[in-house]
Amino acid sequence: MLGYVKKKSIVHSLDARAKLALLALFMLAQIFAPLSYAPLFFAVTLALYAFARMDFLEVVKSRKALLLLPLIPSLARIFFETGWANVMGVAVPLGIVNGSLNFVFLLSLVYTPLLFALTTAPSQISSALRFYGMPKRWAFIFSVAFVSVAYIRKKAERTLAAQRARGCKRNILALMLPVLHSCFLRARTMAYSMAARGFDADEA
Amino acid sequence: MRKTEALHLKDVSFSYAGKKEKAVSGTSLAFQEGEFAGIIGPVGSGKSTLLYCCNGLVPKEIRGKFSGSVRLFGKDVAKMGFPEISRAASMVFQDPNDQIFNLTVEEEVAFGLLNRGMQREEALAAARKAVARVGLSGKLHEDPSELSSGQKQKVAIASALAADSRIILLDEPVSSLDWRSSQEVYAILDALVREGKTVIATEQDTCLLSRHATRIIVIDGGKVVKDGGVEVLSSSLIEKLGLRPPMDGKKIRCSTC
Repeated sequence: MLGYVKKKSIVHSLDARAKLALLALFMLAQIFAPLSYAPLFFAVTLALYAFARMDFLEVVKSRKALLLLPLIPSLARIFFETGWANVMGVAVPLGIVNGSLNFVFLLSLVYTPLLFALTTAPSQISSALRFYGMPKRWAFIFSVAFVSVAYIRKKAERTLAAQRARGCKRNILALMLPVLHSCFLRARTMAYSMAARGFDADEA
Repeated sequence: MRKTEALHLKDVSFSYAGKKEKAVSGTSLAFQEGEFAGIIGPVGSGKSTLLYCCNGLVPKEIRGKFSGSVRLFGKDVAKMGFPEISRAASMVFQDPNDQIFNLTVEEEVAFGLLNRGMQREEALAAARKAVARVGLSGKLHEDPSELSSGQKQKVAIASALAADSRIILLDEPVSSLDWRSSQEVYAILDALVREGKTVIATEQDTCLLSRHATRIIVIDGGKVVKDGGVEVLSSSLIEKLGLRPPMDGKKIRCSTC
């Protein structure tokens, strides 16, 4: 879901530390700006996707689950907020106005950091975090987590294929348990490997 | 010239937590500097566990009932911390996926050196040298988890090379590699032995061991059943244990052997 996509673009070529700083500023500006500015920030997000040579709609389609994050709170506002707003001389239910603005605001808030992850190699993200003072231990946890995401995805695919080959229907629970089990086994052997290479968890 | 004793196991026994049967039973072995020892045995015979005993993973990390003593260059492993042990002995695990957790090949190989407190630039330079030695210079800045199994195993071996330890422990190091890559790896191990390092490898491929190892230790049921030179591989014991003897002219002609 967060996988880095290697491409040649202006956004890809930017230094990770600069990108991280700009991302933080952009998100802070969004959070503290009035909700009516949300379409402007969203326009900036779309422009960034264009500069990164990434199709925003394709990214949204391939990560449909992420849409729930802006959708659910916005729907709540649409259905539960009362009152009326004056939009260019027309009375519109306040819930629809604020819900729509909220949706656009949250879309930008979710998909701009995603663009950062899509256009920045994990090793560069880790370096940027360390540059800004993240403790070594946390930066290491980040890199292990990132590597593990790819492992879990591959393991889930293989487990699903093995189950399907034996006639099992798609079942999340039947998939979760063997994947979790293999994750714990992997974590154990990783710990042995780290210890054998002198990693001292207490020092870190 | 008298060689230094690199590793000494005395009456080492170990059974995993919750299990009655011993994975390693009353094993006493001594390895000299510059020795290339191959450990073979059927599946589940205790080869890997014996290797874990050599670098202190058993019993410091792997819980169970342990007895006996292990000495690395005369020092008791029980009294050493892992940073100190890793300076003396490096380990390459059987499954490369289990030992790769950094984001680039360069960082993965430099990991052990950074843990020792080496300066980052120095560690990365040593890592680059080790990666070049296994023929993966072009993959230096790639994500190691995206490499093929064989390339991942080479990265793991490069990590051990970069550590520049006096003992290299390898658990079936070429199980994921094709024949050519296996020969390349064993050529590297030969070079390490010529430099005076001790190489101890568990292996299923008796062909490779017959060409490179100078000592063969046969393990069965956690016990050493034979300890001798390469001629051990031609004994009837090998087939009796269900292992494949090295191919020779009497059976199938192996053109690369």
